[in-house]
Amino acid sequence: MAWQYVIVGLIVAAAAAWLGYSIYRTFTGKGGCEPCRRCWTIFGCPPEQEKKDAEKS
Amino acid sequence: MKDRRPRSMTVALAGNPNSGKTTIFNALTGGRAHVGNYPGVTVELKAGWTRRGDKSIQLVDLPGTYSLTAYSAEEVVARNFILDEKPDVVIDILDCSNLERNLYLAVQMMELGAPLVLAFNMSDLAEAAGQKIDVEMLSGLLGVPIVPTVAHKGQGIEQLMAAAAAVAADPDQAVGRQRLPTYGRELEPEVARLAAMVPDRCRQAGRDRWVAVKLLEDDTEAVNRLHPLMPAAELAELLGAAEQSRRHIHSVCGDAAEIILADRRYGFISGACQETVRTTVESRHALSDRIDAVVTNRFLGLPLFLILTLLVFQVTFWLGRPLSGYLEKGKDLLAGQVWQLWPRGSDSLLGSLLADGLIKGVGAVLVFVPIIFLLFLAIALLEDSGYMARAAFVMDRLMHKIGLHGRSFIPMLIGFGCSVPGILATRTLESRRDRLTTMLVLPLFSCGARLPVYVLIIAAFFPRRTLFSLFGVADVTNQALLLMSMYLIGIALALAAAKLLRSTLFRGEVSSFVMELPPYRLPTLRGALIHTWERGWMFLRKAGTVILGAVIVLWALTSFPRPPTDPADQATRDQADRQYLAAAAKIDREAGLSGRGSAFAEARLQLAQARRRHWPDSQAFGAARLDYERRVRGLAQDSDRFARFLAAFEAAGTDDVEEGFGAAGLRPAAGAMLEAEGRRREQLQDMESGRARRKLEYSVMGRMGKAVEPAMRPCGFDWKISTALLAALSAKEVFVGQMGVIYALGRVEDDTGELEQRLQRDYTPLQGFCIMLFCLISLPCIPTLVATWRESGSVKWALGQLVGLTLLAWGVTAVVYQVGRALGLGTGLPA
Repeated sequence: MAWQYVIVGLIVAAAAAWLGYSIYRTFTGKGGCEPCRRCWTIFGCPPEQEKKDAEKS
Repeated sequence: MKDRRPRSMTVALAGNPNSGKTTIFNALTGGRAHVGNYPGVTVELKAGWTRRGDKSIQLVDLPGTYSLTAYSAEEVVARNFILDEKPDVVIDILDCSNLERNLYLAVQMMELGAPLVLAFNMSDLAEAAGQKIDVEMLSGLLGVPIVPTVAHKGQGIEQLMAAAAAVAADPDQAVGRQRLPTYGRELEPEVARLAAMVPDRCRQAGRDRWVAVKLLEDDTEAVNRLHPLMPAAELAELLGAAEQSRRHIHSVCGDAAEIILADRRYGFISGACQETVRTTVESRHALSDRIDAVVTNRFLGLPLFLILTLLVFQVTFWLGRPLSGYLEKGKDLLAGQVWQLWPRGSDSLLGSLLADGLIKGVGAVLVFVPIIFLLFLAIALLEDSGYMARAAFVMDRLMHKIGLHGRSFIPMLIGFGCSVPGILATRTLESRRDRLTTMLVLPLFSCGARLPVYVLIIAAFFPRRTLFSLFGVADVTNQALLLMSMYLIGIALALAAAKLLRSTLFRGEVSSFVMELPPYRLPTLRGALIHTWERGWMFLRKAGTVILGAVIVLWALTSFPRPPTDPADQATRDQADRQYLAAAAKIDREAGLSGRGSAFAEARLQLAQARRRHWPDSQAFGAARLDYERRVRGLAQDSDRFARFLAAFEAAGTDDVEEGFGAAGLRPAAGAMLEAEGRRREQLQDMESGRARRKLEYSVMGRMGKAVEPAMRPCGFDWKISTALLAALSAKEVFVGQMGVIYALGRVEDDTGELEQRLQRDYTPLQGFCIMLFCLISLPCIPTLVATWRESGSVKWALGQLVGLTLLAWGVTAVVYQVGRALGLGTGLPA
């Protein structure tokens, strides 16, 4: 059933893209917030934390 | 008070009352002094002069104080003098016989940023009382020059002035060398937060960290100094933030910030004195000291640490396993419910993604949440009570043997939760050699991500057995002992690796640091739960983010490409059915059932086929079951002999057959029919297993695993474990997730066993142990690699760590597996 392939394909592609982006953010130090920079989420940190990090840098 | 004589430097004398300050002042000034009052207060001010060579030195005798809080005029005057008059050097005179209490003032002077020299006065009395102080070591630990003096005999005075002159020559450098206490993970972020809010122009009020500490102590004097330096709105914001911090600290620690700060200062002092002061006469009186006499004892400390750790693991297992069991059942139930949205036996892609990938993959990791939270709770309680600082202290002796300081154990302790913040915590180590050594071996300290792997393997291969009772209080099982052994093996390997690095790449002297020993306190439940939640939340968030993403991608790699349908499978199924019916016909003839035996076999075959196509609680299967029962009833009603055969068939394997009924005589025929069914079932299961195996091996992940398998065989790993280990580079928990996916995708019809049971079928305990060993030693995850890269400042250290740990993991595991196999502790890979 073709529709299953489409849905599954979209989910897998989204997961792969998000995983790749998270790895990229970790390697470039842009992922998460201090001190560990490893939240692995594209949704980022709470706004106050990001603002603090920006001020520090 | 202004003296217009030209001077080379101003020296302030500070100290506790009765520490000998005045004696030293008189010795230096010859008793000639101006006496006055500090403005606005009745506190006496004494100033005098002395000469050293061509230098003219003004000496100011500050009021005797025990600390620099704002509770008394003397204290305020003393610290304001240091802040406003900025003496070139402050000499703190300490009564050695009461060292710890006297050091409290010194520590506060250091916090204030005063260029300091310590005079250990009455050192003769201290020695006579059985106290031996390693002055040089203590000086190194504190970063402050120390000169022993006997003021009333005039001993040490010249050396004291020489030290003061050296400090006054470069006060900034002297202040920079001083080591300050850290206030612990609850207070340090608050101090940093408030310090960041203090503008540079407020330097007059004191350095920003000191101001922040004073704000936490609600020091009104310090706040008054800020008033003329900050606009009202800015000051109000700062004070509001300080109030917020104080409330937060109180709620988490159960005490006012001021008390916690004092505790941390005393902890710093206590740690320094523990290392440098030997008392030949037992003089401990504080409860913490009495407990420490045992806990940090040279001989008892380490065994106590091991026993406590064992208890922690035992309780974690005892409470956590049943809860994990419920989650496991729930996970399998949920996966089963999802599959019921599709016809039974369906090869639906979406169904497989949801049930085999998401639920069984991520679920395999989430079932360990109870165990993980319990372990984090135990660690939080130990940390909050102050015991963990003792653990670091106990390890200090061991660390010194390998060329590190016990302070290096603290990032390693953090590494027990997660390697990444552990690596970041190495920033507290000043020596680059220490930092690199600690960073490189830290991943060997088993992090929380490996815990699901350990628990899965231990539960699968090592059935629970009580080994002994610990002091009649708790039963210690083999499972808890095995879990603890993984942590101990990691520690042992880390220390060995550190020793090797310190002997080769990072030779050099061991740096000195104060090992802080804060007083013991009863942990608050709220504080412990907050710390538990902080760590546990990271685990949950990882499960919902990187593990989820990784499992979806791994599911796709393990599911595609799909092999073409093998016509041999259907042929095998048809052959199995034919062989079964042929066997049934033979039994029918031999038992004289006149064709009813064959009809019975056909009805059972049709029921089995219906079971394959429909879910047990579906209408279609219900109808098929009714039809089977109707047919069999009909056969039994037609023939007495068949009814007896049916009774024997249903009672087969039991003694429930009535001899008088005559069914016993048909027992062999019934047994033969059952055997024929069993053979058919085996043939089909073999066929299904082969199909599932081909499906997995045909996939991308399977091919990668097969390619890597030859290299992993010496370790006892097949392609399934090899791919799961590869996948675990993203996060160690993914190993469990990937095994969940592999066994879900490779499931055989009617196989409802849990993951643990399936692992038992395919692997041996030796292989299970080797899996744990490999997971322990190999690099935990990519973020660890990146953290090492960034903290070391060089990609070569990170790559070196990756290669080194991988080779070490492979080497140790291979040796263990081969030796284990040679000793007959387990068989090899499955056929």
